[in-house]
Amino acid sequence: MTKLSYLLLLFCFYIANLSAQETEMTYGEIPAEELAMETYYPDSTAAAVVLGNIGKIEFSPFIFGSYTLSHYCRIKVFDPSAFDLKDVAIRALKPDNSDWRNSQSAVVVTGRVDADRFTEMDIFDLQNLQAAVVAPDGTRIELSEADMFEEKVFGKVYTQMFALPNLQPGSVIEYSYRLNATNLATLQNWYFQTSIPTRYSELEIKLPNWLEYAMIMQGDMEPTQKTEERVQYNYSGYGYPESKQRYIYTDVPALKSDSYITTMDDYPAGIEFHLLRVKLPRRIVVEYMGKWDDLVNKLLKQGDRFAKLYQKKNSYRLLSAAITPLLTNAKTEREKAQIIYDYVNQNMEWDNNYNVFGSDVTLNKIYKRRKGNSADLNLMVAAILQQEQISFTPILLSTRQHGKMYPLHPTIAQFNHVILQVELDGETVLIDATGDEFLPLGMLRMESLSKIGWRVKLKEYTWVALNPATAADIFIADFNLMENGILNGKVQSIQSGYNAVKKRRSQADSLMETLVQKRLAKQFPDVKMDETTYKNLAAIDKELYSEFTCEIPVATQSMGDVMYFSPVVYSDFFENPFKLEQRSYPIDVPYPIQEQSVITINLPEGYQLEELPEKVLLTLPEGAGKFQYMVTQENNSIKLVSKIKLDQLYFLPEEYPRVKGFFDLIAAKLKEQIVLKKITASNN
Amino acid sequence: MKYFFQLLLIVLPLIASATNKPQYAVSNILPELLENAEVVIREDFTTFNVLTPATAELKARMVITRLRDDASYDDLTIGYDMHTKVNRISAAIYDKNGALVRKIGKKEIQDYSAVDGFSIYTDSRLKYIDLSYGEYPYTIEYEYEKSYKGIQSYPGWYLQGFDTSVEKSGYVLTLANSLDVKYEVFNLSVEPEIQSAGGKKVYRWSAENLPVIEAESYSPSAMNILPKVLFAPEKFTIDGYTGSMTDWESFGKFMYELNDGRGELSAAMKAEIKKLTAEATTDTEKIEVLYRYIQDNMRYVSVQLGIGGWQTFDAAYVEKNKFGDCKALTYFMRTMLEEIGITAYPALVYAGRDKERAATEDFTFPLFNHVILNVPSADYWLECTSADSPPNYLGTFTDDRPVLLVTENGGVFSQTPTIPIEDNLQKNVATITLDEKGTATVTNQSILTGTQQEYYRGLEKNQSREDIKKYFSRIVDLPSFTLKDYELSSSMDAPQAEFSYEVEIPRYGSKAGKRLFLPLNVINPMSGIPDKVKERKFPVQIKRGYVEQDEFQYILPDGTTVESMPEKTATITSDFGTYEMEISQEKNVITYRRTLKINPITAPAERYTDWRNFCKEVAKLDKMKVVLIQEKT
Repeated sequence: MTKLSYLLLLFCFYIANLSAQETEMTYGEIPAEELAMETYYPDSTAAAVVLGNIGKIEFSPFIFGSYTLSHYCRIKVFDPSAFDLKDVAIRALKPDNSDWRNSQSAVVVTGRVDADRFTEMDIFDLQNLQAAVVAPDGTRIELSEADMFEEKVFGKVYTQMFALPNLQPGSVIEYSYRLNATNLATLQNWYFQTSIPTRYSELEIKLPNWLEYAMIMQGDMEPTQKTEERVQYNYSGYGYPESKQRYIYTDVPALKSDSYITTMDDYPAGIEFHLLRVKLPRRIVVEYMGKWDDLVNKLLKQGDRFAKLYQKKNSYRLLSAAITPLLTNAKTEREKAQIIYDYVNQNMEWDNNYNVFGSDVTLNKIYKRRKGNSADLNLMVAAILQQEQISFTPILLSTRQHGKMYPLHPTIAQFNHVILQVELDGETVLIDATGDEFLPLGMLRMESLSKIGWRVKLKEYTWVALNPATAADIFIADFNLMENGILNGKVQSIQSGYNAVKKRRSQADSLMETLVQKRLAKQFPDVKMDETTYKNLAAIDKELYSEFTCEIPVATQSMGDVMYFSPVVYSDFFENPFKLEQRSYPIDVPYPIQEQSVITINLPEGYQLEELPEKVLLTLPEGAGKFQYMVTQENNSIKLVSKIKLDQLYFLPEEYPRVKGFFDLIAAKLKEQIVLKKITASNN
Repeated sequence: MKYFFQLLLIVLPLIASATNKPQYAVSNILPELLENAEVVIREDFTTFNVLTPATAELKARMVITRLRDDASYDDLTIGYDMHTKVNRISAAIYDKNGALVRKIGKKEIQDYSAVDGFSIYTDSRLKYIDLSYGEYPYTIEYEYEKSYKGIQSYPGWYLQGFDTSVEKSGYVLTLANSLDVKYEVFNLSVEPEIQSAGGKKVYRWSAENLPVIEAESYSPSAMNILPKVLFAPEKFTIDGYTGSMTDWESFGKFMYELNDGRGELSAAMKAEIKKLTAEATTDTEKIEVLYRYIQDNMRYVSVQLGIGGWQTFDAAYVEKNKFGDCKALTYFMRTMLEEIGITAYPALVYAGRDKERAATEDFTFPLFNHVILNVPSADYWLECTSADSPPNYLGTFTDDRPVLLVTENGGVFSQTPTIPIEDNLQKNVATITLDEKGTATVTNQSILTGTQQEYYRGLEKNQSREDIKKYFSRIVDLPSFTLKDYELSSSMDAPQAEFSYEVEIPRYGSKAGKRLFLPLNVINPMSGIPDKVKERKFPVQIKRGYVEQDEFQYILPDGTTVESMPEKTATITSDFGTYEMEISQEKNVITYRRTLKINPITAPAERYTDWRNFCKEVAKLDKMKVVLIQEKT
């Protein structure tokens, strides 16, 4: 689990004996050399560079702990037309329905936002927000309220943006603000890296001895400088020691996105903060994270919107009234679970939101809307399972878009989804009833394929592996090759796992061409295909069989008495899915992939085989992937077997060239040709 | 006390009406209206009562059955601004049998600033109600009233979108006798019933049982297919400005007056203009110098405030901030030209690649969302919001479509130029050197002009060299390759870009024993064949033409001979386009020449198969291979 090999900093610092580099950056004072600066040498192509990004976090013991974040940022712009306004955005959280410009309530963060950390009681006080654009000739325009506007990101989270008057090549933008917040748990992640390069980035945090955060370093960069010193906090005779820590990153490259990843938010250099405990003098210690035990207790015993939803009969009375009559004839646990799953999956709509907690205090209220978040729907299933005395355990996870989890940290914020692990007649099955009509019982929504999840069970909580089913695609064809070069015959296809889900969905969308047919038509534009007949189209828990006959007019090319053709007519890998030469991020594949072709081709009378492609067996180390290819002759027919398997789901950037090479060879092999020659009198 | 009763009267009928409505049961819908439908509009009634040129009242009522969870209409969104006010909203949800599920409470009506995703500020706001319910099908019912103090245009009657059928729809327009209106019915045959009574004229339109319309690819855009009725008032007043949609001349006059007198430049700016144009001798040179000045110094930022985005910011605002929206930048450019005695006219246009909407000459309805600048003396068209575009190039954003020139004498209906097919050229000249293992070194030089260069220009201007290199495999579609080098440049004077690259493709030719299979067109084959369809309804429309010219030279490895060569020439001729291909061989060099020309065309629906076949034939010819054989040594 290399993915989880992050650096953990639980305040066990060496006191670095480095003299902290003094960087004076004050709002309103931009040195002449920065106005005159023409390129940023480490990245001469950058449209802009963050000259300095400086954050200071301080804590106050009053009102049972609060913090102040002071933030100053200075950006040099070289090419205003290539410059994205979002590069000078502040992500903010504001209360519903209020106009943020007229309100003092806003949380300012950049990068990933955990909306779950906020409660309605939190007070945020944004002060001294000021911003300015300074032209290279020194002309300074201070931004007024009219130059500031907002954009909704999701839920209550907004981005505060600035219109930038008089922005010219060479202009410098600066902004600063101070934020006072009352809830220590809302301290957001701090990032040293962004989509443009950063020359200097610093975070100073003064941690009192009565406060503990788990600080998790993100990204694969080390800080240029890291210091810690002891200082004393004093306020009219009241005092305590503080640990003053500084993190400095210099010349941080721009963060660039890539494909086959979970979410970009997992990759920038930064620090995540998770509140552990507050132990103010003469007060009881308040544990925020402490132990997994506390988390389990909170979910299963104390909280309103988790276990109580399915434990209290009154919470799900209406739901029970709807489902229980359907269960009367069900005998086995599996039959019951199937009915409950189908009912919730088909009759309740998912509102496209993931959450660990239900959206209301009873399931009845959610049932009345016939619509809910991921926790609402899965806890509905839990409620009826509970009623039917079928044993289950909720599993928390973080969806692929939401980012990685921290197995060492008992924080609720790392999760955003809950599924169920159910024991059905002695068999363990996973349930994710989030309204996907093509997803069978036992399979997770594709977004939920997070590789691991956390089991919520008193005393028996633990991380569990979530092994997704293989997406298999088997193509079986029986073709006759005609003397005029036409291939015709019967095609059978068997799809299972996520491929079956995909295919059933596409079949429901369009009755004209199926996924298999589309892929064939892409390779052979003038293929003629009959309508497909299906087996198990409605039985979503079974493999999907389909069958059709087809005629491929130009499958071959002939010249004189020689005929050439490629026996592989169907594949998803004619082109390498990994085309980039290099890659900076790991490859993250959601589920194992298997593709298999078994094709028999009966040769036309009067032709003999001149050349057959060589057989091949190609593997990736440690059983990560395998490619088998073999063409054999049996009497007057040719049989091709091609098998592609990818079982490992996570590859480090260093492994990328090997994975790319594997698929390069596959793509080349799939194009190889068979050569036939007409038998002439002289041959005999 | 009197007021109290009036209030009751307004409120009561609505609340009383929200009970079970068996008539909404889904079982009452005609089967032909359910066919392919995601949504069935059960009732859609709008009353627009115009009291004076500046004031009006709108009443709307809709009953909609949603059949699927991905269907539209899962909310009610009512826009308003400083000229309009939403007076009353009520809404309810019914299940498939018409039984009331719930009424929407006051607390559920949310109020938002209308952030459109690209404007930096706007004074538009929204009333929003979530009308979703998880058990399908279900029916929503809503009513609202809106009052107008300032009229910019009358709301149109849009009967249906795609995948939507209609049971009953109606629109009632009431005008004070002193007012007049023109109307136009699009994609529907329906006549209004006109009555005159009590000092008022009443127009009533109605339609019922309209089946679903499904979207099709390569068809005219949605706006030219879907039924609607639009209104052109003879007189309307907003913010003290009075205008008319009687004809284009008078509407243009209104736009002129709205924006007149907003072009005062500072003395410094005037001096700057003089300095900039001092060297220029001809008008076109002067235009280009000033256009370049705008491109280099001003940025495009959308600002939607005041009179519905029709009135520009004054020149001083642009001069100070160095940014503006399309109006502000266009008017600023016009003012600069005026300063040196060149007359230019803002041209209102509906921008977009798909040429989505088109105003028509004989019906004055301002289907515009953008403004560009026309300089008649030089026959120049200037897109003032683009920092990268060459002068006098409109491109796919605003080419070939109707515009309204705003002149001091009123509006003049006109048309932007069409780019000739031959000017939209992609020319590739490549050399492919092969070794005996099938590895190819490919050098390709492309010249791109007209619409074909837009993508490459955008790439050059907006992406770093490092990014282009990294994502090269997404820019050129070739089999797995290694990039050696590339060059990309675009001209600031003409719509032209040049793009060249050298790559190595390890398995370009595929081997089978002593044979090597060599595909002839890997660099620029036809991709994306139109989908097969069962029944085509709308005409086939190819909106723009273009030409591709390819000349590829294959240098064969030593010791190989050609065993098999496809037909040496091929030609396809159709009114959709022409394709010509020619192969020749001289010693160890095979030369492949290909020309593909696609014509802009609108053809009847039944020709869709011909269009598909044309593409298929081209794709088939693009797949040809040469077979090489290793000589015995």
